[in-house]
Amino acid sequence: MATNPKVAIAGVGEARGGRATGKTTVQLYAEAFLDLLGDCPIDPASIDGVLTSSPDAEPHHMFSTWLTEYLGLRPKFTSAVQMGGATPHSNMALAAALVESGRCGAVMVADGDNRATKFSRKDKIQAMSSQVGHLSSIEPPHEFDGPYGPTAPALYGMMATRHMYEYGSTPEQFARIAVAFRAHGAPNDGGCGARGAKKGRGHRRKPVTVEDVLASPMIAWPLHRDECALISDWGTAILVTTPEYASELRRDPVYLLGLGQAHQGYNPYQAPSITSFPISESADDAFAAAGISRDEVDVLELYDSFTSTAMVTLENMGFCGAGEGGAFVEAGYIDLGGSLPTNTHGGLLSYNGGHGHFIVEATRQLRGECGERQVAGAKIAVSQGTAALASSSITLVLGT
Amino acid sequence: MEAQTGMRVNTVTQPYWDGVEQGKLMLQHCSACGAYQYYARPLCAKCHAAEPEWREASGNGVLYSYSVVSRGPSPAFQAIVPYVTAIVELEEGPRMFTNIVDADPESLRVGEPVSVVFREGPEGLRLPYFRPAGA
Ligand SMILES: [Zn+2]
Repeated sequence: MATNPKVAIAGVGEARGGRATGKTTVQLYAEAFLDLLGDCPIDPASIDGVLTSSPDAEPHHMFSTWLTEYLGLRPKFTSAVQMGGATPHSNMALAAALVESGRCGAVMVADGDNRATKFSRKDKIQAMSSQVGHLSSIEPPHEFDGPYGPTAPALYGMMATRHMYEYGSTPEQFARIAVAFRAHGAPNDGGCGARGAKKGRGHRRKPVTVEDVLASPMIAWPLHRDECALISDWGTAILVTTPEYASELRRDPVYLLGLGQAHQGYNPYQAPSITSFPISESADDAFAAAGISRDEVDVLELYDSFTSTAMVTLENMGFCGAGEGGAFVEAGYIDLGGSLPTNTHGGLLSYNGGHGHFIVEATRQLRGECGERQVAGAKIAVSQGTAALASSSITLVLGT
Repeated sequence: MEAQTGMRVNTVTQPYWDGVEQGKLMLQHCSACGAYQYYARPLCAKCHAAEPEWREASGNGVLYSYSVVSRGPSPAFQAIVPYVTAIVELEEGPRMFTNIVDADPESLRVGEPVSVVFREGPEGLRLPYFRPAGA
C-alpha cells in the first residue's frame, strides 16, 4: 500500500435530492455545501479551490464563478468541468493535483443538477441522450448521429447487444445487476430522499427480482426501465485537502491512495470496441499507484448508468475476465455480503442519478458510517467514473 | 450552406452530403497511410496527414451492434417506434451510426451483412440507412 498519501478527503456533503421540487440547481449545491460544513468543521474562508460541473438543467455562464459568489467563497482556483458522469472524478483528479502541488490548501469538489424537476419529459429523454452528448439534432456537430434518433439507452443497449453476441451473456444476467443495486438502495434513506424530502420520492427503493426487472417497460431493447439510471435532482460536495489538514479537521480522514485516467474519444461508433474500454488502463494505473491488488478492494462504487455499463466495467476493471461478468454477478459477488460489495448505496439505478454520490458513499463506507449497508472493516474503497459510453475512465482508490 | 432542407453543411462535410444527394456513400481516404475514416475531418485521425481525399464506399458492411428504441428522443422519432439504431462496420473499415430499415427487428443478428440504401428519414432528411443484404 502507498505509505505516504499526499491527498485526503476531509468531509463530504449531500443535498436533499431525488425529486427536489422548488429547488434551483445552485440551491442544491448550497445544501450540499452546508451539509459538508456540518461534516467537517472547516472555516469556509480556507476553501481556496472550487471545482464544479457544468449543470444541464439550469445552465449558467461561468457556473463555478457564480457558485463562489452564491456561497460567499473567494478561491484562488475555480473551474466548471464537463466530463459527463465522470465529472466529479475528473474534478477529484484536478483537486488532487492542486493540493499535491501546493497551489491550493483545501479544494471543494461540488456537483449537482436539476434533472428530475427542471426537465420536461421530452427534455428528460433528450437529456438521457445528452449525457453522452447525443442530442437528436441535425445540426453540426451532431449531424452524423442525431438524424438517426439516438438515445442514451439505445447506445448502452448496443453495448449490451454486443456483449451478448461476443460472450453469450443473457438478459437475466444484466437484470441481476439491477437486483443487487436495488437491494442495496432499499434501506438507504441517506441524503437523497430522506431528511426533509418525502422518503423515497424520485427513487427506486423497492427491492426487485430478475423477473420484475425484465417485466419493466422496454426502453431500448435489450434494456428495460429498471436497467436505466434514475433522472434526479442532486447536490454533492467533497472537501479535498492535505492529510495533515484533514487530520486537524476530522479524526478519520480518508486518503486518496491511487488515481488513474484514460480517454480514448467520444462517439460509440468511433470506439475500437463497445465491450472493452480503457477502463482497464485507468484501473491498472490507479491500483499500481495505490500499491494494492484487486482482491484487496473491500468496496466498489462504479458508475452504473445502465446495467450494461456496470457489466462491462466489472470486466474491464479486471474483477473478472472478459465475458465472465454475467456469471460473476449471478454468483452474488457484487452483493452486500459478497466478496466485492458494489454500489452499496444503490448507485444510479436505485439511490440517485447524480454523479458525486459514488465518492461520498466510498468515503462513508471507509469511515464506517453506513449502518445496515456498512461493509464491515472496509479499508479500501474504489470509486470508478466512466463517461462517453465508457471511452473516458477515471479510477479513484481511497483508503483509511 | 445547405445540402438539403434543414441540413447545414460545412466545407469539410460538403462532399459527404453531396454524395448522399447522389445516392453515394462517401468516405475519406488518407493517401499517406491508407486509412479510411468516417466522419469527415480536415485531417487523418490516424497519421495526422492533412486533407484526406474522398472515395465512394462499396456501401456493404456488417451489423456491429444494434438496439430497438421504444422511447424516441423527439415527436418525429416517437412516431416511428420501435426503430433500430445500429453501428454498421463498413467493408472499408470505419464504423458508422445509422438505422436498420426494411427488417423485422426480431430477425436481426449481430454480424449479418447489410448494405446501404438512401431514404428520407422521420425529420425529412435524405440519409444513408442500412438494410439486411438481399432484403
Ligand atoms: Zn493517415
